[in-house]
Amino acid sequence: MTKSNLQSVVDSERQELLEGKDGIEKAVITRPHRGQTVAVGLLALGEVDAANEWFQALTEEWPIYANSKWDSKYESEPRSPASPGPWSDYIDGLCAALLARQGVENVATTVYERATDPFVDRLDKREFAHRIDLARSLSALVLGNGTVESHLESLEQHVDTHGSDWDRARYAAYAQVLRGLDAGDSSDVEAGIQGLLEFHRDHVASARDADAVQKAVALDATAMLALARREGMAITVDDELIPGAVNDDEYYPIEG
Amino acid sequence: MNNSGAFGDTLSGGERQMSDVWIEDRLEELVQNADTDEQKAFVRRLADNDGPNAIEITERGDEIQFDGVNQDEVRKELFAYQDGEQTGELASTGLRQADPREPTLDSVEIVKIGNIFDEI
Repeated sequence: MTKSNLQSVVDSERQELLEGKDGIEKAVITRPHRGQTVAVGLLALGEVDAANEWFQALTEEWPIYANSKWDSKYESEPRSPASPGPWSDYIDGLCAALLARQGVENVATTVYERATDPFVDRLDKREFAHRIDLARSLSALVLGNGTVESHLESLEQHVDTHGSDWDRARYAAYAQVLRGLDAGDSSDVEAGIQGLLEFHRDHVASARDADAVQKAVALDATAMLALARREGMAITVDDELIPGAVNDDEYYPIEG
Repeated sequence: MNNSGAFGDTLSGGERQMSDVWIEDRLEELVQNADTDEQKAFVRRLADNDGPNAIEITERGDEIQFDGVNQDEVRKELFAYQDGEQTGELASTGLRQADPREPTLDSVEIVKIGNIFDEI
C-alpha cells in the first residue's frame, strides 16, 4: 500500500462521512468503524492534528454505540449470548481515547462497569468471548484498580481452552503488554508489542477483508504503545506498522 | 458484502464464515454503509418486526444504529458457484484468480434472510 493509495482511501471515506454533516462529531454517529478508518489513516499519513479531531469524536461515539448494543442485547430477558456482543466496540473506544489522549479514564470506567456486570459471566457462550476478558484487563490497567492480573488469568484460561491460533497469537501478546505495564517492566511491554506486530503480519495484513488502513496500521500495537507512554514508560517502537507520531514526545509525551 | 477469507486468513476476530460473529459483522457493515435513502429503507425492512426481523436497530437522528442480529431469524445456507471458464478444472479456476477485485469462488458470501425485498 503506497502513501498515495492510503491517502486516496482516507480522502474518499472522509468525504463520504462528512457529506451533508455538520462536523466530525455528527459524521461518526452510528458509524464509528468508518470514522476509525479515517482517524487511523490520517495518523498513518502523519496528519496528526486532523487525526486527533477524529479520535476525539470517536472517544465520544464508541461508548454510545457500544452501550446501545449492550442495552439491546442484555437489558431485558432473554439475554443474547456473550459472543457476539459489544465488547470489541468497547475496546475500540479505549483505543480511540488512548490515541486521542483524552477521556481515557471516563471510557475505561464505562467499559469496566459494563464488562464486569455480574450477569456477564452467566451469559451463554461466555467462555468464547475473549474480548470480555481483554476489555476487563485493559480498563482495569487504566483505572489501576488492582484487578488486572485476575482478568488476565481468566483471559489465558479461556483462550487456552477454547481459543484458536488467532486468539492465542493476539491475546498472549496483549497479556504480556499488560503484565509488563502492571509490573513496570518495559522489556515485557516491548516484547508484547512486538508480539502484536507479529499477530498483525500473520493474521490481519493478509486478511482478504482488511481494508487498506487496517493493513497499513497495527492498531493493537499502536494503541498499546500509546498506553505505555501514557503510563510513563519511556519506550519507542520503530516499525512501519506503527505511525511514527506515536513515538514523538510532541504528540504522545511520556507522562508521569 | 466483502469476503472475510473463508478459506484463508480472517480479520474479524478469527471467526469463520457463517459463524454467528461473522454474520453479525457482515450485517453491521451493511448498516454502517447505508448512506442513501434506499439503503436505509432496506435496512429498516431487515429490522421490521412484522417482516424479516433479522436485525435490531435504533434510530439516532437521521442515522441508523446497528444493535445486533436476531440469529434465530437468519437461515444459513452454503452456496457454491463457478465463476471461471468451464475447463473441467471446476472450482480451481476461480480459486486461482489472482486479482482481488475479480470475483472468485470464495468472494461471494450470502446471508439469506427471507423475502426482504417485499414492499420496498
